[in-house]
Formats: sequence, C-alpha cells, structure tokens
Amino acid sequence: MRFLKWFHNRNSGGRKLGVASLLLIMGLLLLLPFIPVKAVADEAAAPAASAAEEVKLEKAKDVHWKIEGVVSGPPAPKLKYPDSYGTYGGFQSRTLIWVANQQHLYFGSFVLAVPMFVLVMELIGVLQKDKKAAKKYDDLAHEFMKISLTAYSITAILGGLLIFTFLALYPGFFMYLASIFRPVMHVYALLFILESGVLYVYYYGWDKMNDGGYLKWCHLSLSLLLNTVGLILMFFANTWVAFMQSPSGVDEQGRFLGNIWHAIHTPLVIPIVVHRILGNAAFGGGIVAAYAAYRLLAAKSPEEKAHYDWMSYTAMFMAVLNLIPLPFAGYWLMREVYAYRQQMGITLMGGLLAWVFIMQATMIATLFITLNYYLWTAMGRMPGAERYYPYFKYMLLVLVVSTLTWLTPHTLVMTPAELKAMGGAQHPVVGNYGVMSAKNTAINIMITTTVLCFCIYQRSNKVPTVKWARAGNLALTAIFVGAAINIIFLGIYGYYIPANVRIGLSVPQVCTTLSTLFIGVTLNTMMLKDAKSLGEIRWGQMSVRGAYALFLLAVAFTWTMAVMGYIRSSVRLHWHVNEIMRDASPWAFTNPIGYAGNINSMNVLIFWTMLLFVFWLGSLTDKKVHAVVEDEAGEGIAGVAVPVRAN
Amino acid sequence: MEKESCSAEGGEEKGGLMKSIMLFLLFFVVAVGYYLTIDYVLMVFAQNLPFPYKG
Repeated sequence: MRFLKWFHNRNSGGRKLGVASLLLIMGLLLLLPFIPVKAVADEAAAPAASAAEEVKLEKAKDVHWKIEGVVSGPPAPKLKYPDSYGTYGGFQSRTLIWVANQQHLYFGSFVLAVPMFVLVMELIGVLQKDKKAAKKYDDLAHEFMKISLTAYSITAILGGLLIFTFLALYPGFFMYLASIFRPVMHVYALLFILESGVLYVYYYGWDKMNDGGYLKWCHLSLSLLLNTVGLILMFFANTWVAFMQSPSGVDEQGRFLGNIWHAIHTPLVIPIVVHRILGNAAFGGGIVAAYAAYRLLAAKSPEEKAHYDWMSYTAMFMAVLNLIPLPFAGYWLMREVYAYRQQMGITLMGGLLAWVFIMQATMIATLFITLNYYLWTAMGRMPGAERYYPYFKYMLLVLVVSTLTWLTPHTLVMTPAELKAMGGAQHPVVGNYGVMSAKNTAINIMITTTVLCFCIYQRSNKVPTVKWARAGNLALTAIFVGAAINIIFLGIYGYYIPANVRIGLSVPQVCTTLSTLFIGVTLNTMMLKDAKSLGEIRWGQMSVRGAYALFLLAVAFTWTMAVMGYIRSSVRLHWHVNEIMRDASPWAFTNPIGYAGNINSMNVLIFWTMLLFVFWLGSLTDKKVHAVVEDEAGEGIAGVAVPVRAN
Repeated sequence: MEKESCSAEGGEEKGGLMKSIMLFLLFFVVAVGYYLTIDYVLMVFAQNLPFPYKG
C-alpha cells in the first residue's frame, strides 16, 4: 500500500505503475530460457534416479567432455544424396543456404549492435547536466534506433527464409540439429517475440517516456532489456554454429546424452560468442557511420551537415572501440581451435584455408588504413591540427609496411619451373615475413599506430595547460616508442625460439598494445583537462573523401565478415557436424578461392542494396523541417540542428 | 608533441634541451622496464613458458 501511495504522491502514479508493471513482466519473461532447461534436467535426472531399478538404461560417454550420460536421442542419421537433400533446379544447395545464412547474419548483427550503441548514447544523454547536450545525445540515440527498426523487419523475414531453405534443402541435417536443441529452439522463438515487443514499446514510447526523470529511466531499462534479450538470442544461434564445429553433449554416434548444457557449452562456444559480439558491434558502428556519411553527403543545410558529421564520427568511434580488441579475440579463438583439434588449426592457418586468411588480412589492413585516413581527413575540421600534418606520412609508411608484412604469404602458388628457380616453395627473403612472428608484430604495430593517431586527434585543436605538460608529452612519447620497440623485439625474438614457446609471445605483444591504448589515452585525456582551445570543431566541414572513407570502412567490415564466416564454416570440410555427421551432398568439397570470393562479393552487394533501401526509407520519415536550438549567445551548438522525425 | 612541450603555453617555462632528454630517458627506461616485466610475467607465470628461452 505504501508503495502505491508513493506512486500516487509522485503524481501520475497510475502511468508509472503501468510502466513499472510492464518492465517487471518483461523482465520475468527473461526467465523463460531457464524453464525448459530445468525441465530437461529433471527429465534427465528422473530416469537416472530410477536407473538402479530398471537397469536397462543405456549410457554413453560424451564425445568431448568424456562424462557419462544417459542416451536420450537417436544417433546422427547417415545421410544419402539425393534422398536426404533437396535441390532447386541446377543451383548448388550449399550456395543457396550460404547466401540465406549470410544475409540473415548481416541484418541480425546490425540489429543486435545498434541497440548497444543506443543504450550508451541514451545513458550519456541522461547523465548530461547540460540540457542541450542531453537532447543532442537523445536525438542521436533515437535516430540510430530508427534505422535499426526497418532492418529488424528485414531480419525477421530473412530468418523465415533461412528456416525454409534449411527445411527444403537440408532436411536431414536440420532435423538432427533440431532434435539436439529441441529444448531451446522454441525458447529462441519466444525470445524473438519478446524482443519484438520490447523493441516496439521502446521505440514508439520514446517521446512519451522522455520526461527527464522516472519514465526516462524506465525507458533506459527497456533498452537494457532489449540488449539482454538480443544477446541471449545471439548466444543461442552461436551455440548451434559452435556445436557444428566442435560438438559436445553427444556420444561418438551423435546420440544426445540428455544434458542440454553440455550441448550448448561446446569447446569453442565462448570464444565464438565473444568474437561475434565484438565483430557485430564494430560492424553495426560501421554501418551507422556509413548511413550518417550518406546523409552528410545528401545534406543541404550547414546545420544538417553538422549533425550528420557529428553522428558519423560518433558511430565510427563506437565501431573502432570494438574493432581494436577484435584481432585479439580472433587470436584467442584460433588458439582454442588449435587446443580443440590441432589439425583444424593447421587447415585454417597453414593449410587449405591459409590463402583465405591472406584475404582476411588484406581486409583488416584496409580497415585500419581507412580508419586512420578518416581521422587524418577529419582533422581538417579541427583548428590547429596543421601542427600534426607532417607526421601523417610517417604513420602511413608504418601502416603500409605493416600491411605488406601481414599479407605476405608463407608459400607462393607457383609453376614447377618457378619453384625450381626459387629453390623451394618459400621465397628466401619474402618468405621470412610469412610467419606468425612477423604477422603478429605487424597487426600490433598497426593498432598502436591507430591509437597514436587517435591521441593526436584528441589534442589536435587543443594545447595542454597542465603544469606537467612537458613531462606528460615526454612520457607519452616514451610509452609509444617503448611499445614499438618491445613489439618488434618480441617479433624478432620469435624467430630464434621453438614454435611451442613462440606462440606464447603473442600474449605480451597484445598486452603491450593494450597498454598504449589504456595508459596512453588516459594520460592524453588527463593532459587535455582545461586545455587551451585553438577553436571549436567545425562540424559539417568534413571533406567528401572523408565521408567516402566511412563507406569504404563499412563495406570492408561487410566483406571481412563474409570471408571470416566462410573460413569458419569451411573448416568443417566434409562434415555437417564435425566428426559426427558427414556431409553426403555433392558439394562437400572446399570451394576454390575465386568462387568463394565471388559469392562473398555477391553477398556484400545484396546486403548493401537492401541496406540502401533501408537508408532511403529512413530518410523518408524525416520532415523537411529542422529545429535549431539556439544557445544563449544565439549560436547553434555543434549538431543541434536535428531533423525532426515524423513518426 | 615535442613542439608543444617546449612552448610557454604548455604551462611550463622553457626548459633546457638537456633536461628534456634526461627526462625522456628516465621515462623511456621506466616504460621499457614495464614492458619487459609484463613480457616476463605473461610468459613465465601466466603461460608457464621460459623467458628468456635457454636452449
């Protein structure tokens, strides 16, 4: 009663009670995933308890965890072509499922990543003391969400398409997978409904709940809920993929052993999930940055340009925050792959798929170079940045040398005559750069250079005024020079020690890079406290090339995702479920690189065509009116001219 | 960065070049010491691998 009275006293208590109840119900729905798991656990425990009496229960050992469990399902079916497969005319079924999967994944990643940024932006807005700045962040978050909303519908449609493609082309495999994950598959569907509900309440309730107080916090809680549900959904989908690559929870014949957690908790699931969360977030940031760049290029008024310039920078920044740890998560995943099956690791990085990794290296190097290029051009709108222009060419040199090192192959594809002339598959000079010691060094140097570039960007229109400015600058220089020396030292050292010790050097190399990131950026930020400004950032005065760089960044993200997805999936070779269920279709071979590259490019083109449609749709909902908030001096602050939505 | 450090706007009086070099060397030694420490800790304690490697 006191609780209700409190609501009554706080005015509009009924509305608040309604919102609180809604949040509570939605929060309780989050418990859904645990209900069937518990039911299955009970189901598994019950026969186990009565096992002593009935004796006849068959037990088998988990293929990975080596724990005994009660056989609770049929063995993996031995598939036959064409009986267990479907086809559409002369099309390769594998390519069709590949395209359907990739498109769903693209949109799924996007709609998963955007709410993460929205949560951060909205929270920053709520915590702002300055109302204009708060509104600026709030509007930005709202606009991010608007783009995501259209993409969400497309994700659902593509999800349906994917399911039908599986059922039509790979019914035998899909039924087996469904039999293993039966306890969680319907939960996935229910969570998807919950996600839709929360999303619509969150988006359409934005203005109604924007009271700057209690309701706004409720709105933020909805955002948290949306992200939680999204992450659980992604986790479930990842567990199926991880099960295909490194199955557990089943015996050698593929029979389910009754413990769904063992089937979910496969050896590779955690690194896959972490890698995908970071990858999705970087990808989502890149897409939103591209959207803002598109709007920046199309903007007519200076206010609109200022807004979209700021928006593109913010989205790009979010993408970079996730891009920087991404290679480390990738190395962790590879390390776990080697630990799981050494042969799988060799197939990936030193065998059949090694050349695809060269393509991946090219793409990631493109990402880092483009990112640095964007920051250099972005400094064109910063008064005082001219001081740093002479350093850019050296940074570019470092990036190019690192890129060339990174994409140097260990062995080359050659004719017998070329092979004879060179004296072996490995080039006597260039071949030295085709090993992990050189490649790890290259990527760490690239990331450190990017961190340095960001530090310069941070201070480009400022002069530190703290008393210890000189000492701070010298310390910063020492941190970066020391890091570069240590990374290169560890790289060279790796050539002189055995492989089993060498592999461990990647860990201190990564920590050196992360030290520059955390210590360097923190020190730089502390030095810029109360710094003398050389002029305000001229938002909107971004060069056209800079805006196009953001497109390149987003397309490079898209292509990298395609190629990495292809690698991860191809490493199963002729298995649907690694070492458990064989692929008996005529397409159980590894594609030539050219074919894989073409399909990946086609996937990127299809996705971007659909995405441009989403962008265009997003621009239709803006009124041609702009609300310009004037500050007290009568000057518009950066990015305050926000297009008014017509929802 | 060096340019800024010598400017009066940096909140410091113009120091001698020698002082800056000495200060830099001091920071450099600290930084390298820090990096070598993390190399050692992460190799020996975290991964149980020899550092430096002795044949």
